[in-house]
Amino acid sequence: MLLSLFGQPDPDSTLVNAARGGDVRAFDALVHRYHGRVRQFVRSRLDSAIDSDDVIQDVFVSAWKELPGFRGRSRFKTWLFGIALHRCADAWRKHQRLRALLGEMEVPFDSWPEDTWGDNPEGWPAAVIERTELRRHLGRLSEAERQVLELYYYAELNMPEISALLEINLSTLKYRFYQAHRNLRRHLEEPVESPVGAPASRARK
Amino acid sequence: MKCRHWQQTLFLHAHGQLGGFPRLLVDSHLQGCDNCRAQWARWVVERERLQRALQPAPGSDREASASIQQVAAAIRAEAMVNPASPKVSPRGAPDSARGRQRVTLILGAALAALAFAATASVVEPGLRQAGILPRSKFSGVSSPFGIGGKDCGDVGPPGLTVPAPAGMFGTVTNIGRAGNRKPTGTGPAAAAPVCDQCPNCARKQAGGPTAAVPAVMECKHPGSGTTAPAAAPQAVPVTTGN
Repeated sequence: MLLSLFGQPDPDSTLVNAARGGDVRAFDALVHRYHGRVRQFVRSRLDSAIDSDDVIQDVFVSAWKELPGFRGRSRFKTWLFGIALHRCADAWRKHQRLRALLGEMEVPFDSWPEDTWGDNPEGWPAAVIERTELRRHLGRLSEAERQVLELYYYAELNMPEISALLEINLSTLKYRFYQAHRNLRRHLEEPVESPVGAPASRARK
Repeated sequence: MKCRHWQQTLFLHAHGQLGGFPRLLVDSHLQGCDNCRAQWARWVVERERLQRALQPAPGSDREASASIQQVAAAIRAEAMVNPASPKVSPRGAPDSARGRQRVTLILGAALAALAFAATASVVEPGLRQAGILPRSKFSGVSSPFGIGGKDCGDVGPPGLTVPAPAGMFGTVTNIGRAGNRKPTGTGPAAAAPVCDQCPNCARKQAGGPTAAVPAVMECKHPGSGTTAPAAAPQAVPVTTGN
């Protein structure tokens, strides 16, 4: 409400209002609009052993169910990525519990492979190699730093929105954002330790 | 400031996170510093690289559309299970619209109050002059709207604390140390000197509403020809009327 009065209006407000009225097709339009970003975001946060499509579906179904609770204090996109953030954390915890129950050893985080490019990096275009390498280095950052970068680049949220979502001070967030870039730059400048496409060794919470 | 102190600011500038004065400061610094300009350009290149690389991957349309179909089917199933999900707010209006109405109401009420106060400030002195409204007995109290007698220049007893009168913006101005004040009259109200020009004093003579003004009040109007007694004032209990 405040955003729409004093700030930029939410571009999704028409569709959101229609969806709140029970219009499934309006919500379909929202799904089409944000599916790609949510998918990218969820895949960047989850181990490839977790079925990301299930989590994505869970995100949108939760959004549909919780839509009456959406007060319009933030943009719909921010709210949706807040749900995605929590669903990823739930999925990761569930996955860890399952692993513990099955008595599996701790295995390194295995990031999602690039879509449709197969497992052999030799035939990949340069852009895909670059993207894969960046994602691998992103996986080497601390959880807090990576979270900020993912919300900024994948979800395309701005700083005040990320600050509200993560409930951290804006100045702290900006410093963390800066540190994340510095560390990423450092990792990128380091000599390559493992070939492109190899899993990054990071566990996620 | 040395260039190394600019690094975080340059980074934030390159990401469009600076505004206003800091942005102007960085702009002016960048014009004269080649080293910082190179740093800034490097951050811009890295930002563009990350933005390009972290876009949704091309070539994943088939998988994406399958995933979208799956989500749409799940939503429809959910909508069928809970058809009443529209869960609209009680009055049917979305929260944002209701909130907007609420803000409009609050702003309207504030404007109305302001208009009322402004009108009162214009009308009230005239009514007092015409004798329609009684003069305030809180002579030491002044307000931006003319509430409180000031034309006689009379000052209440030292340390007098008077709550604001009927007007909402009344402020107490005569609180202070006794030593800072001129001595004022000590006798009863009937013995207080009066002038022949001031309407307040005229009403005092006529036994009007200001007869209840505390005895220490005196008129300092030049026409009254009275002088203040040298004796120190005595504390006089004041009834505020409320």
